[in-house]
Amino acid sequence: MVRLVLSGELSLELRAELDTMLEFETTLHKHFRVKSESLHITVPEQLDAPFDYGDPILGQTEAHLRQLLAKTAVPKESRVILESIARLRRFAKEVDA
Amino acid sequence: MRLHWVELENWRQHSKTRVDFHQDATVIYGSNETGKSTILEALGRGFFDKSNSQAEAIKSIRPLTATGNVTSTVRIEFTIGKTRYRVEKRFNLGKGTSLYKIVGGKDVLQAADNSGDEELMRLLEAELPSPRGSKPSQWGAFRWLWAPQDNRELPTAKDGDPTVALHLARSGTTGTLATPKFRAVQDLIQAAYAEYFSKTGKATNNSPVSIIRDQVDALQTKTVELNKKIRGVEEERQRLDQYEQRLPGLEKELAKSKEDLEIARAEAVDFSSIESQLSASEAAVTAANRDVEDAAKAVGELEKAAHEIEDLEEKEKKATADLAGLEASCGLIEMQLQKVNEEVDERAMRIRDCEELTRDVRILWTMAEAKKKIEELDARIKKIETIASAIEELRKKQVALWPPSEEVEELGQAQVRIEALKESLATRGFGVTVVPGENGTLDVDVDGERLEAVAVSACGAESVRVGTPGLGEVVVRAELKDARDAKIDIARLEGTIQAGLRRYSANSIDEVKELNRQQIDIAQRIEVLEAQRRGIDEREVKEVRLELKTFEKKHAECQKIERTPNAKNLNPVDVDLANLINQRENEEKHARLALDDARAHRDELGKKLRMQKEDRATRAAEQKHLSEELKSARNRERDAIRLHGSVEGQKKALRIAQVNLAKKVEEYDKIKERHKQLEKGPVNRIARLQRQVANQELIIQHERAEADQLKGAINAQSVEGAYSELARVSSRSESLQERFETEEVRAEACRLLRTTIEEQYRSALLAVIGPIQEEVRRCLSYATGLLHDEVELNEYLFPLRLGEQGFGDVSLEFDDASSGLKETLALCVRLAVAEHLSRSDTQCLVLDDPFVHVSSDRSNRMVELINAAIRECGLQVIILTHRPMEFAGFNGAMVDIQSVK
Repeated sequence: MVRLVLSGELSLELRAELDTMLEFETTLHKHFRVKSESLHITVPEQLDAPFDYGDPILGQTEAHLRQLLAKTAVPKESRVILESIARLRRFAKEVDA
Repeated sequence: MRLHWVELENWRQHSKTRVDFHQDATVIYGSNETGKSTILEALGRGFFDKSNSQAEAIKSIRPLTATGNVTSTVRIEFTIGKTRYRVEKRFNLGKGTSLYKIVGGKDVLQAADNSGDEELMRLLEAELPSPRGSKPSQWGAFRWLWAPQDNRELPTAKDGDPTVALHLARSGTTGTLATPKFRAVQDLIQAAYAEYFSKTGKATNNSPVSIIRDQVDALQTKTVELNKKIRGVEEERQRLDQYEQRLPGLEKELAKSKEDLEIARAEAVDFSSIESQLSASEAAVTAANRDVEDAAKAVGELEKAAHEIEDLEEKEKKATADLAGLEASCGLIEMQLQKVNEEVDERAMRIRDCEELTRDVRILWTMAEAKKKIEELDARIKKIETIASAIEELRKKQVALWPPSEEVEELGQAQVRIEALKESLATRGFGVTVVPGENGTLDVDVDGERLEAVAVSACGAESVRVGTPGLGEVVVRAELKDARDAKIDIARLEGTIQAGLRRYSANSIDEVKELNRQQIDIAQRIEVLEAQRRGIDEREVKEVRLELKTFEKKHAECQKIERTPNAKNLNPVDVDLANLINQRENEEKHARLALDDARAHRDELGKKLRMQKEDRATRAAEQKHLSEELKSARNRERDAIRLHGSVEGQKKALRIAQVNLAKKVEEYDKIKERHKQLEKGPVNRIARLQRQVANQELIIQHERAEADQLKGAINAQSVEGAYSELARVSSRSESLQERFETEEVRAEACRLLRTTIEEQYRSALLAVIGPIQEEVRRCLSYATGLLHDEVELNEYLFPLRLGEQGFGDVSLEFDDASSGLKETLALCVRLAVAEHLSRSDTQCLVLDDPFVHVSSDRSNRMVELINAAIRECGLQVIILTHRPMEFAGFNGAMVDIQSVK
């Protein structure tokens, strides 16, 4: 059995890529295990920078999510809120594109 | 805007019609097809259509009666802000638009034709119409304020953004509330959300989270099964180890138990001799006991026989004494019975004497009575014969025919009547006196009798005829009826009297009367005598004589009977025989009673004697039976003595046997005590050890079998594969758990994003349409009687849903509402919009038949709300209806469309 323990920091944007990779590995190797409790997901710098949605309600939505992020101390809730903001921005970019 | 008047010319059914609008409310009413809705159409086209429009709808406004193309004109005067305008639009033939501004009462042309249309659109804040004519969606705020029949529905999303037209405040940007970008992002968020959740917010079965969770659950189930299998094998191994460890100890314990058993058996060698002694002692005790029982039995039999003889002797003695007493009693009763029989005979004799005396006195009495009757009948016969001879004498004096008293009386009355009639005729009859003259004679004719006397005085019955020769005839007439009847009656009565006298050969009525009196006297005397005869005896004399002979015969018979001397002495003939008969009968009766008593006493004694004799016979039989039994008992006693000897001898043998038994029992008890001691010691231990050895052997055998079975089971199962499978499943499970957490975060992020963006949208929407929504809610609550007190509008002011006391318990989608409720709600929205716009300028609300489906109570409340809006916001309302009574409560004018056409 091979056990992989991940620790340190990883930006949120790369998390999806990591997940995809690990899913492939764990499917390929039967005795491959991953522990990522110690891996800290950081907010990407892009999320800190202001984003122009071109729509007041969308802008207000992100502002509200950021207020929630500032209030919470639960790691899982932080992950959910950060994921929400990232998705909102991604959708806005998709529409602009 | 406020409307002042409108004028239509050559417009459908209106050749020229002008309607002046009240500043508050104007209700234009009329029947169907009278042109009400045409007024509203004209207003719409006058304001929002271009005069040069070629639309088919505009071509159709020409009058139906018009031939060829004509000019249809509409003129409207209105005020926007504080400026008064008038617009005149001509359609079809003479197209053109003229917009006037009214300043100081004078019309100043502001713009004409196209520029007039454009200027008007600017004033009304509406959009220029399309070539096919204006649509309500291009009317700006008027699409909420004006509700023609063909456009009752509220504007929807397709009708455009209401924020500009209604001057709704927005922060940041202008234009629609939800931009296309917002909608696109919202759609993407919804799609991402739908990947994980259903519409109700529950996780879908095919979402990544659910799929991974199912996989994890399956792996966990498999892990549990593998763990269970491994744990089962390990438990069996543990049990096998326990058996293998415990078996040597058990075998060691078994060997020790066997050694102890051998030692105990060696200690119990003399136990068998004690057992044989105990058996011999038991047999000796039994034999001694049997001797005692035999002796006791013989003594019992002998004593029993002696007691039985004694008892029987006593009984026989008593029976003999009873029998003697009964025989004495029977003798006494027989003596008493003999005396009573003698008494009965004596009393019977007495009765016979009494009967003889009674019969004698009765004969005496009968004979005396017969004699008395004979004398009486003799006297009666003599009297009867005397009376009969007297009657015979009288009958000889009677005649055959004599007048009865009634006839005599009639004859007397006839005589009296004749006299009375004659006297009456003399006093009351007609009289006439005729004096003849010198020149002639006078003939008087009375009842046909000619009177020739010179002076005549006559009585007539009917008429008197007077005549004188030469002088004619004088007739004197009078009523002579009574006179004539009397004369007839007299003749008839005299005839009757003469007939009577001839019948009885009498010369006068007095003779007849005498004859009658004599005969009546004779008849009466005969009757008296016959009554006397009947009083003596009504029978014929021969019958009386026959009775007399009967009594004479009876008397003779009685005399023939010979009387006894005793009767002659005791029954005297010269006393009252009736009393004597009674006396003798009483004596006989008493004698009979005495005889009955004596006989009853005799019967009683006889019965008693019979019972005593029966008792005596029974006692005699008993005595005989006892004697036989006594004899039999004495025989049995002799047999017992012959068998067992005397009682004293048997009692002595019994005492010896009892002493011997006591000795044998004492010896047996000692041996028994010794046996018990031996039993408690080595014998019990041997038994216990034997059981212990057997049980230990069973336990060892059982545990060896269990161990062999476990060895076989463990060898049969292979757990090596289970361990590797468990490791693989655990690894896969951990990996999926990681993915599950990631997908869970993504799903929750989608949910959060969707919720947040909807909240933000609602918040922005509420900031824009909040006041109107609140006003709609207030109006709807009042109109529905507080039934629906919540309403939610979308950004186009279109109702989404209704609620009762919030949306919590009862929520109703607008599409599911009834037609009446939809109509009410639409009117509430229009009214709220009108009130909102009235803040900047006066507004005109135009409604064409607004309450088609609304019930009367709700329509009344709506009228109250509109009245309040007129009063508080200066709203102008124009209603077109064919039911004016519904709107009679408005403050304003009622206009009959027919009166202004």
